[in-house]
Amino acid sequence: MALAGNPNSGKTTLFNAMTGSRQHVGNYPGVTVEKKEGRFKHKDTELNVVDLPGTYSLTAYSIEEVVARNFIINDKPDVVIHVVDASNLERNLYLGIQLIELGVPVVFAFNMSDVARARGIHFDLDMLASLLGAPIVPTVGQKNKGIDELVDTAVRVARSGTKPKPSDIHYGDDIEKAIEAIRRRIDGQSGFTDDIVARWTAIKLLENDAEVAKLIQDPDIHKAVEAEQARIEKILGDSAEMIIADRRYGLISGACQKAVRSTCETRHTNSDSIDEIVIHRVWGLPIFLGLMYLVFWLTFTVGGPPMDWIEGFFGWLGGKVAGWWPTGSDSILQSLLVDGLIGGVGGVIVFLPNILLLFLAIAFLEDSGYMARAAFMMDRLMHKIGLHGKSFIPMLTGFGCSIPGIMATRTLENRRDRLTTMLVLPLMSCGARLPIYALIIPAFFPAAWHATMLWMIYVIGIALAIVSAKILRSTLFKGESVPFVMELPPYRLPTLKGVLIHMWERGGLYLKKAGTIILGVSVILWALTSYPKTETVDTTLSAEEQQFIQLSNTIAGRIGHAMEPLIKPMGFDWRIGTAMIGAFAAKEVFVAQLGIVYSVGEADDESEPLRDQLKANYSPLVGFCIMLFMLISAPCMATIAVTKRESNSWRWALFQLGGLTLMAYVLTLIVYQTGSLLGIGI
Amino acid sequence: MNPALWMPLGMVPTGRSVLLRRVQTGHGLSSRLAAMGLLPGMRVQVCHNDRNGPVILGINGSRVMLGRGTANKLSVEDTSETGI
Ligand SMILES: Nc1nc2c(ncn2[C@@H]2O[C@H](COP(=O)(O)OP(=O)(O)O)[C@@H](O)[C@H]2O)c(=O)[nH]1
Repeated sequence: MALAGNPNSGKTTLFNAMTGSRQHVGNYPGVTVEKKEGRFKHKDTELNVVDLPGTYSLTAYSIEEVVARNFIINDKPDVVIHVVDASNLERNLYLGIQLIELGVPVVFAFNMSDVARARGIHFDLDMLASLLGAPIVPTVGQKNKGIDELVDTAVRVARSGTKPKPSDIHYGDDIEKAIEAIRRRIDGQSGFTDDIVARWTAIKLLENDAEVAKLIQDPDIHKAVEAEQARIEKILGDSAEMIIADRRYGLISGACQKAVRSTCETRHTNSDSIDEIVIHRVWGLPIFLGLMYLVFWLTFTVGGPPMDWIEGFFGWLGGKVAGWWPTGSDSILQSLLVDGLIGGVGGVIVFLPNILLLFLAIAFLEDSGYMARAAFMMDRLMHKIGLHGKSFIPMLTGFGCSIPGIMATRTLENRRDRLTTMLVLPLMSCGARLPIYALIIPAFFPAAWHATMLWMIYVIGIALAIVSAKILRSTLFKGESVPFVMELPPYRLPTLKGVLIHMWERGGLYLKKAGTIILGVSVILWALTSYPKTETVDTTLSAEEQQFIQLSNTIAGRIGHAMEPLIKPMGFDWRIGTAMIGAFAAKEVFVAQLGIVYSVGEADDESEPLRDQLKANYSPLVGFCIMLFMLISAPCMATIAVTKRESNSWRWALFQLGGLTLMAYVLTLIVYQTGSLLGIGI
Repeated sequence: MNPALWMPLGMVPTGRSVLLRRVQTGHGLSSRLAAMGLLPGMRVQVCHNDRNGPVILGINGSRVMLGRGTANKLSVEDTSETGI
């Protein structure tokens, strides 16, 4: 079975109610649209459900619509359940009519029937069902009401294969004549043995559907379509597309007049009063900023203790595993397990509480309907850089961590918008870069400047993101900015189950996918920074100095040396180069690596000896350049991996890596050279 | 129907109820708008219009926001005598 329906009709809620946790999220081949599938057993019948993307129509306007209808046409589900928001019947049935047109067995789930009843809407379900030619089951997704009956009905319809008759949808004589003329031409073609598909194709051609038009090779058919369109426009005074849409609404409102009684229209009154405050010209923005602050506060303060537990656990585990070997042993296996595997995996899992909390907050804001309002308020701003309101949420998330931010770009329908947002997102300075700034700023700048410097770094990131987005939108991703059309769902209190499932869908992906890749690369980085071993180290030296000699001889150390001529113009030496390699694994590793090259043992962002060393070796200008470079350059490997997955191509991931690194290089170079020339901060 | 009375949707102040007369957008978008209930002849309520930023419309009980550029491609006729 397949679930189809408008966004916000409660489709996901019904899907969750049917399948519980037995669901699987993947992507449709070739596109970045999520495919949710689930299996469950209903009275001895094994059922497989696919949750199609939420759409308003089955045109070719967005990928979601194309994906939904291709699934129905090609995968031929035994039955399609159309989830209808019964409190907004007419608009929802617009999709229903198109499903009937596709000639598949359909069952209507009149969801939100509680809301409809509260609004004083009464349905004559029997009459509506006979008008639509398909059974109707009222449901309340949130309360699990009507689900059993819905599945019963769906199974019955699937077994008997009863389909509504598409020919019952009559578009009026002029249009019907055109449909018939085109259908007859198509019928002769190979691959169109099915009358229903041929009729559907004819309608879509009249509607100027680009995807369907691509499938038709015969130029005669295209000519015939154009002729029919011209004829219709002449007779009826409007484009065929509009007339067809108009007829569909006519059919729906005809049916509704017969079978629906509404006492009054009150939907949204509560929502409207909330909106009066929430999107108010003056109050809207402070409320929005306050909520965002709350989200980050929640993420980082509530996330703090569990992070400490996880860190503690991995520390304990590392110690335990290390204990299997006698002290002083330098077994490769021990080092691989403790430093490579446990250290690497621990480094990723440590961020899990943050990420889950962030997603929890986002899921809450989304399910409650607030996110659509945030997009409304940010549209003005984002419009200026060629994106629209919806891009704002992922960008904001990026300040916490780029990974969930990039994953959140899924809400953007347009691929150009999505890629632009994804590519510039790492410029939002993420939480992992904070330790670097916290180390460098106090080392080089007087206390009075600290806050300003930090603020400046963040602002530079934002400014660069704006400029890059603008550049990308006017070069690679040129094209008219996509029209901003979005429904504002009424405010609802989210259910705990819904929010938790949403959170886990995204958080689990982070853990699974990013975890496997990070794991692999941490092992490689571990090897780079530990091999080859220097055999003869002067044992009279201090442990730190021994460590230093070891490191400069490893591959990473050698790469650092080899990089020196390249990074010299930015004011960096090989030590910074070595640390930069570590930063590719995770930005905060930079600090620890510098600690090792400067032989100060375990270093963190509070490390005074390391700060003194830095001060002795570099000028404030170099300090600033380090921060600038770390802000812009090579996003960490997890970000690259996620960009690859979300964009479905290595090309964009590598473009992001190369582009940002190049930008970092050029800008840092200019800053350093101009700074030295003018004698600023040296 | 008097086209002289039509105006771009973006100019209609908050609270007005108007009749949608003409949709002048590309093909893809106009069918999307139709799917959301924005079709010539339909009555829409302007729920929020700040003369800057997107416009929020009430269509048959649902709320839809439209970017200002798109809103100005829709011609409407103000038929409400009073404010609300
Ligand atoms: N009152 C009411 N709310 C519902 C019903 N079904 C779902 N909801 C709520 O409607 C909101 C949107 O549902 P969701 O399943 O995410 O919609 P989707 O976008 O179609 O997947 C959620 O907050 C649900 O809790 C219902 O039958 N009655």
